[in-house]
Amino acid sequence: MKTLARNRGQWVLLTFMLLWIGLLFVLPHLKLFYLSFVSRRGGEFTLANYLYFFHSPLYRKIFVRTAVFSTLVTLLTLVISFPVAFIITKVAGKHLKAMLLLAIILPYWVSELIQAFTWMVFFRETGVLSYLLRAIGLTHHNIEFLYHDSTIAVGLVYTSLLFMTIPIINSLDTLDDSLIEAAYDLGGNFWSTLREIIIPHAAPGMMVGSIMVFMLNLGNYVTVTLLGGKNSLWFTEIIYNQFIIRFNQNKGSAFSVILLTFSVLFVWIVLKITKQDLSEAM
Amino acid sequence: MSQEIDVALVHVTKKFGDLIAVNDVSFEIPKGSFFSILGPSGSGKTTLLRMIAGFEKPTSGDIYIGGQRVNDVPPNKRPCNMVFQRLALFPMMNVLDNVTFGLRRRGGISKAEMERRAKDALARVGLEGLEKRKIHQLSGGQQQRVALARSLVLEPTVLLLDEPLGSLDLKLRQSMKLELKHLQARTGTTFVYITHDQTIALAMSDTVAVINHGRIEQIAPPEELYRQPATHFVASFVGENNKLTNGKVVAFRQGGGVDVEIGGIRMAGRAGENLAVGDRVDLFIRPEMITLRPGRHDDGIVGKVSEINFDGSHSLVIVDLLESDRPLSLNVKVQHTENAPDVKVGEVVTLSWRWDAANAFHPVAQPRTEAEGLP
Amino acid sequence: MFRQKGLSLSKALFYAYAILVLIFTLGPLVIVTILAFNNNPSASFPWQGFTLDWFKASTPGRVGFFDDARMISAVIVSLKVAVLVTLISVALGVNNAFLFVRYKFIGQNFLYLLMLGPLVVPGVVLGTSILAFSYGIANGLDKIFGAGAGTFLRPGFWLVVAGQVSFVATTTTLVIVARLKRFDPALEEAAMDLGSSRLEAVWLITLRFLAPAMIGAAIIAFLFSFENFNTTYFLSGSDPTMPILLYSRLRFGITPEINAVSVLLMMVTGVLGFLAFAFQKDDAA
Repeated sequence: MKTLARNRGQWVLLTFMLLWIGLLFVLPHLKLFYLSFVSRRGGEFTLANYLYFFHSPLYRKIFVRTAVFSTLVTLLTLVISFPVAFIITKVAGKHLKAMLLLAIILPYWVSELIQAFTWMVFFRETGVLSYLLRAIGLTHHNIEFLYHDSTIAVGLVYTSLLFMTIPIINSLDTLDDSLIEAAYDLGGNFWSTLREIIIPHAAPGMMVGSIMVFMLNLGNYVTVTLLGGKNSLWFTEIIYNQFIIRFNQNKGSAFSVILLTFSVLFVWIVLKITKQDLSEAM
Repeated sequence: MSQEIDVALVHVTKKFGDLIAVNDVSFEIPKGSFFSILGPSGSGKTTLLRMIAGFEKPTSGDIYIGGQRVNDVPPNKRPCNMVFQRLALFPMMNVLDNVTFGLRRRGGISKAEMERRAKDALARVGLEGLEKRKIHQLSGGQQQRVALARSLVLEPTVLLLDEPLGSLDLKLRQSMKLELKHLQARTGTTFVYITHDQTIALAMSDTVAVINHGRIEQIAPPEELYRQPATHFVASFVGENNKLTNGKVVAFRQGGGVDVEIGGIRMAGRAGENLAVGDRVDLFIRPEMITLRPGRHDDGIVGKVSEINFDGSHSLVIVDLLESDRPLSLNVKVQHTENAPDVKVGEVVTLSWRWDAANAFHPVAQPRTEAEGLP
Repeated sequence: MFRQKGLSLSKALFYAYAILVLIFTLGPLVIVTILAFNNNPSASFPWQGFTLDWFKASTPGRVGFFDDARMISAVIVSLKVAVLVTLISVALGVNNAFLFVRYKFIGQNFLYLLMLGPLVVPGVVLGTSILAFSYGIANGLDKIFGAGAGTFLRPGFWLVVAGQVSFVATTTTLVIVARLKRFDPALEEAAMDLGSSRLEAVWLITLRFLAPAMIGAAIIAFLFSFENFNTTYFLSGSDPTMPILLYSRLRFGITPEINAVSVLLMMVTGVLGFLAFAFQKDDAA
């Protein structure tokens, strides 16, 4: 009797779970996949949606640009975040530690949109940076800092900081301070200790952080379009254009599948190379 | 005078898939007794207890509590309560709410009455004044008492205890052991206690059932269990024992005794089971039942002291037998009394024991492992 | 070793770096906060005196947030969406947690990986896939039951809710799974032993135990929903949520009112974030 009740309970739970993941995740993606392989009119099988992408130098360029840009920003974020994580776990006292943690979490709480907006306020032609430069006499007229690649990079690093720093903090937390001291004791200097003790220990966290940041950059929309404007040339933007502006769901689907395949492939390869487990990493 | 029976198991078997956790177990527990189920981990004792509590259903056989068949009665409707191994106190409630939990489920009792009964139960386990404490603010021993009070307040016919003393340190375990026994005597509730710790089972119980591989090996009062084990397993599991293997029955004595030849030496023992002359046997001898005399005597077994381990009230003396045709040695517990023999390492001594202090059994095949790793 | 007293060169460098990081992360937020109270219609410096106009004013040329009808209605839409998404996602989170922690079944690991999917897939792709899927169903419903039957599946309120639930439920599941894993099932058995039915035991004991995680998950779900842009952007219709409305305004330029909105958002999300943090901490204890 009890066994039956248990099983009945399991079936109820399973039903809700499958309704959610099926209707809101699996079936939509199958539909996306299906649409990407059929023609817009008629609905017969075609590769045209993909060929359209591969034959267009502009789209190819945008794709490569998005991937390369995301990679560079990821590396930049890693370089900036690592010392932050190190200071938080191994250097800072209680107060500085709390302050730094708050400083990387607070921007995340106020949402990506507001993050991008604050940088618009800072970088735009009549913005704060222009004003400061004029105030100290470096220039006499306003300068437009928005819509440059470097502006996009600043915005992306800003939104990525948390996702890189927290995993590194988590792995550095498990590094025993005495290990660093032992390395010094055995005659190591800061750089050799960093290279041989600290970085190898933090590697899993760095890897998880990099994967997350790369994915977030690749799929970013709001930061790049607000800070990059028409010059952003980001891949998500052409997906939006196909779906919403041109109302071409088939090409849009093909582009979505390309983005999805690339990011899943990327994660898979990185995980394979580093021999990590996704569910563990998360 | 016929005894009233509180719990009865009749040919109870429990299978998990192909695994037989409990194998055709039958016993009766008289009302108001302290009954222990003793067995190594994986022996099926937990499954047995969980069947009495109602968390598992027997594959076959019947369970009676208070004369009623309860096979199909869910745990919340059974007149028995359980003290869990890890206590399972509700961490989000204070002591009082934990203790009144069961009363609240029953309904029909006023709040004041519930509180009165809870305080009464807490007083019985010596926890007055801690009603408002959170569980995590209590010590291990105090938590133990709350768990007891939580069950006792419901005045169950039977209280099931799933090795709740296991997590305590040695000192606390010793004192809780006595307290539990006194508590049982005071309340008159039937206690069913499962444990793998034979010292607990022997010290507290009126009756002990030894279980191994899902089968009952022996049900007896502690002293009988200790002195007259019914099976090879009981002899080796309960208490310390010298085990001499590869013996052979050579003769019978009057009153159920046998003479066994081991390593060329003739030794006396009790036939633990049906034996015939020529049977191969193992002989078990309690270390404290062996008499040790300095020097060489004719009426005993001669050996040489190879090691003396001082242990407070007694010493454990290891004696290598001198006249055996293969290396044999016996552990002897020598009490430190006024006239205790004074021996030194290397000295020659003579060992002897009453024939019924040793037990002979057929050797058994190495334990099957089918019941290992059960919950 | 770096926490020792005294100042070494390396320690000084670390502190200097920490200060730069603080400026980089908090600077923009501080600037926006100052500008929200600056009586300068260009939403920039120089400072021209303190004003609350960007919060509350309805003179021509100056509309404060609380007098901006479109903004207020977008906030209300966002709140409605967020409340629904939170309730559904927490319920699903509890559902999934029980499924993954309490039961063992074939394909469970695969299902768990699948459940992580919505977190891994870019928000834009999630949005487009749900848009494409619902579009097809809505057309089908229109065809069978007549025009308008599939309207609730067209971009708008319900589609936004659906789209957000798809990934928010993953997060709530992870939070609640973590807590349920630390629950000793013997507590449930103890409750049953003391007279509860199975459902009573789950209700009185297990859900009570999960409560901090459920509240924490609810706050996180609310924040995620309220702030979501990427997925929502593809699914919202004529009644945009606040982030969508803000975005469409930002494409035309910056007004001081948006500074004020940002400050309000910072305050609300800051408080919610702290609460979520506090409950997570309590959860870990």
